[in-house]
Amino acid sequence: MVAVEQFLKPELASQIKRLDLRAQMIVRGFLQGMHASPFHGFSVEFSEHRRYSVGDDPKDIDWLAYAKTDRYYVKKFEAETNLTGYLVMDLSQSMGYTYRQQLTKFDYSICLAAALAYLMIMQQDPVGLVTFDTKIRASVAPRSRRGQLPAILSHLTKLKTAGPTDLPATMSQLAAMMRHRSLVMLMSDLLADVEPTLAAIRMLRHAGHDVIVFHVLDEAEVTFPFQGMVQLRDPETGRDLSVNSDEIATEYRENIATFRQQLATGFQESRIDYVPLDTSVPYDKALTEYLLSRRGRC
Amino acid sequence: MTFLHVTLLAGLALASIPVLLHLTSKKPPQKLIFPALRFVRQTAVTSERGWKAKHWLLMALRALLVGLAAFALAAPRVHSEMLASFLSIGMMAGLALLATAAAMVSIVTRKSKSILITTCLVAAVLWLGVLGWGGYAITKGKMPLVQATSGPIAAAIVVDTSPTMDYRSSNQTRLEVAKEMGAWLIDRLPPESQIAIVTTEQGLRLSPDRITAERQLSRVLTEGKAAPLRSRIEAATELVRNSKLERREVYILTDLMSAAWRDLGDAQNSVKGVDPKGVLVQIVDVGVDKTQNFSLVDIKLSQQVVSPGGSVDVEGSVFSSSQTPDQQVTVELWTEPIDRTLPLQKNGKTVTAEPSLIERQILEVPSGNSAKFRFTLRGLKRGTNHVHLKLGQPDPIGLDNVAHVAIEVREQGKALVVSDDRDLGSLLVAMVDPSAEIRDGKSSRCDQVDPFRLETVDFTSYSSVLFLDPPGLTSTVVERLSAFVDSGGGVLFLLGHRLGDPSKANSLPIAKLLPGAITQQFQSLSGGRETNFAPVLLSHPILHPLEKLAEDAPWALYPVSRHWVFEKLNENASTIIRYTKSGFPAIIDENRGAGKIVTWTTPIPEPTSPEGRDPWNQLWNATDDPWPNFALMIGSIRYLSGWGKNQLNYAVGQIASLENYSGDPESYELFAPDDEMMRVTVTNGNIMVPLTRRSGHYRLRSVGAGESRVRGFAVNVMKEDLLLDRVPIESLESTLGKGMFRVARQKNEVESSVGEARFGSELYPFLMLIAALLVISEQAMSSRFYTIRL
Repeated sequence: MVAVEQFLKPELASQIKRLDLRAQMIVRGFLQGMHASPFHGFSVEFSEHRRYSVGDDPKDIDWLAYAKTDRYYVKKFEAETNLTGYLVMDLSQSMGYTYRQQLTKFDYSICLAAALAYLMIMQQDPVGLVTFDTKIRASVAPRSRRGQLPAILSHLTKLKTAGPTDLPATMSQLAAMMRHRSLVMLMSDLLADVEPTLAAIRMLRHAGHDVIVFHVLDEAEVTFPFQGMVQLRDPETGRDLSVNSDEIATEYRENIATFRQQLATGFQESRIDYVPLDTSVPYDKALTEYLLSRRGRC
Repeated sequence: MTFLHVTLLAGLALASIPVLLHLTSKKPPQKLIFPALRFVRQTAVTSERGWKAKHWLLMALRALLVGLAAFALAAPRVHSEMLASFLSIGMMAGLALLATAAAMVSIVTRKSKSILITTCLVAAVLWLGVLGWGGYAITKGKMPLVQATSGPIAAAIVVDTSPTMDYRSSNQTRLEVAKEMGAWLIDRLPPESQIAIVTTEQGLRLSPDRITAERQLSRVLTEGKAAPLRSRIEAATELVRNSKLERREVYILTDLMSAAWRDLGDAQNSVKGVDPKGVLVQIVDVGVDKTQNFSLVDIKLSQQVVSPGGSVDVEGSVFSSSQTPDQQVTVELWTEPIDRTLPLQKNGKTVTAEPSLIERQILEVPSGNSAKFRFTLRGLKRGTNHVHLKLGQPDPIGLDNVAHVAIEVREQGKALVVSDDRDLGSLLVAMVDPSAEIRDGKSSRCDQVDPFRLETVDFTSYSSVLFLDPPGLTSTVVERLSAFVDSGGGVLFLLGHRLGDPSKANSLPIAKLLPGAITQQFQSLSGGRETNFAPVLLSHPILHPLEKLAEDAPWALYPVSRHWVFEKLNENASTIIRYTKSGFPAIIDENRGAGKIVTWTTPIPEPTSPEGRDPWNQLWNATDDPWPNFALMIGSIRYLSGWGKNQLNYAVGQIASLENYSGDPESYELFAPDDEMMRVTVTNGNIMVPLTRRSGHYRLRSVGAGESRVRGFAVNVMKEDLLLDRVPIESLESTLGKGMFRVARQKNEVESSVGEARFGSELYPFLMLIAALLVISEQAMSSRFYTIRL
């Protein structure tokens, strides 16, 4: 039997077809791992276990605790402040890219978004969803009720990537949409010029929102695993380029590292949380980042 | 430049295959979607350029590799003198390639303009140099000697037959080594080749018969004289040049000793016919560098013809070659007994009398120098005496360990006494022919004539003419006498008062025959100051009758009070006896032409009391027994009468000529030293033997009825033909021409040298080296393209 922590690995989580289950397994794996991790102190989110009593939602029963003690316990969460979260998904064509044909950046982002949504709903935080490419395509208004999660998940499963993206325009639009101070969790590959990207996201920060940027790249975009002569095509612009991958690999990796470093530095200046991810990185990194960010606000 | 397999040059076309593959079979790169293209584009511009440049470079490398392989397989060859040039061109081409690669890298990596221009300029200059120099070397440079690479060869094998080829080393003479090498060369000639063995300059003919050539080669013998290699090479070159065969080669089998090569001349007078375009000249050096040898040389006889019972001095030297250490050497004197039944030919061998050892001398011979010896042969018997001089121990050259001497002993020729005093003249006649009866002042072997009747006398019927106190003579008589002496006659002047006034003596016709200019007439004062004889040249035949008493004779008993004075003698004159007090010459011997003139500066016999004057000396009258002076007279008469036209000792190569005496047969059989026999007929009264190619005793035996007549002569090797000095290659170059010939020693060297000369120096190894470097470069470069990561 596969331990739930294993579902933090994207390649394993992706084997679960249903997104809600996938999100559940990710979050459960994450929370399970937290008991044995240095993050145990995050009990603010679920303060203690208490004996199950009639009227409790059976779904809150901690079966692991039951397995250990042979008694029913339910997780007792602290009362949350109203932290409204927006999961902002990039729908650009480039997000649909995968080299290994297992998990696209978009799939990874959906999975991550689902897990975050699950986690937020678990903490009774209102969470909404915004998708965009050159403009905002769809949005699910943030709510904290339990029915919100299926709505978000249902929306996520229908999303498809296509076309280019215009981050400045959409961020500007998004900033105008959000009236209260919110937590914006942007999931994008940010494959655009650095300065306009920074400027666009800074607009959200300037509007008083907290921003976590989940910079999702494909594993191949980070490691550049190609060999010999390859003809590369930009899916958004359609331009081709033939290169000897052996010769440019090192320099490419340096370029990507520089790109990420530029973003990190730029976001840090604006107190925006920047989480560089690729499709091989376990989800707990992103979730931990979220929890850290949330605690910082409480 | 030529190619061994020209057709394989077609393989150069294969060099186009990599180009075609590059152009047509270009493998398309893997097409991939890649969103992060912007980060690739930042590096891809330079990378793509570099990749394309390397791709073209790889294609060029492969094309070059294929072309080079085809070129190498065609086996290009160049003249060996051009090898250095072609290697230099190759190195320059290599540098040009490097410079080109550097220029390409500069272009790709966008180096600064100065670097770009410099590398391009250097590459261009180098390529221009390669094209210019290479073009010149290919079109104008020397080509390998022989263009035709297959087919029969017209080959002339010149064999050095000099005496030094007898030098034995490693149990083989140089000639034996040369023969072995010659046979090997013949064996390696292609079928239908034509061969000539050149041991002479005339009658040369190329023969397709290989067996005949081998047999001819096996019969070659050394000769006693250094081979005239110059004329042999010229004849051989001319011979093969006139052949219809395309491939012409001349091989010279020689020990490279200076004797055979000394007639080559200098650069202005170089050997004709040797040029590199038509004929391959290959010298095969069979000589040795370190040589040790003793030679019996410079054999001289005091007389070659003597009267029976006479004696002859045999002088000579033992010469040591420069590398021979100081050593003690024994010289032996052997003589053959006179046997009129010999020689005979038996089983192809000449049978002669067995020589017996007469005397032995031990000499200390210093390195590179010579030591002299002298033997005296006494009591020689009538006939031709064959004498052998031998070295006591063997050395590498056997030919010069024996010297040959022939001495003819016969009755002295008829003499003529010229005297106006009949009685004194008769005394001289008695000295000439002691046993004969003298009638009217003459004997059967000696005539007497008054000096004033000389105009009618035929001197040629005499072997010697003896003048007792001669007058000035007439010019006609002097001229005829001079001719007589030149042709081998002997003249004895016993000068006395009849020459007259000393101040006018030199103007007399007879002065032309005297051994120098008369400067004065010595005259002693009364009461002393007479002078006496004192021997100077004790070994001279005139003194032989005195034997060992020449120094101890009582010369003081025979005073001389007056004599003619020759203060300075002619070049060929020497003093035999001098006067004790003044040191002026008393008896002088002078060589003139083939004859001799002996001059006494005071007369003998002198009357005891001459009329109207004092006697000039007491040589004849001082005692009852003037034996020393009598011996001197006998010595002088024998010396002169024995000196005839007959020369019996020759150097190798000289034409031998012996006077055939009246009444002797007209035809002879010649027994040569190499056991060959030939018939010789008398021509103009002489027995002529033109071929004396080997040293040794040549014996003649009359053919026909009657008593057999045996004559003979000896032939020796000259010292200069035995010099063991190697000829430096530079000397050969100045005469044969630089690059016109090749020198090799061992068979493999000869094979390599001939191969190189026939086809030029192979470039194959160098090309393969370059090909190997190209393969390594290609591998290194292609691995950059097709790395397989595990």
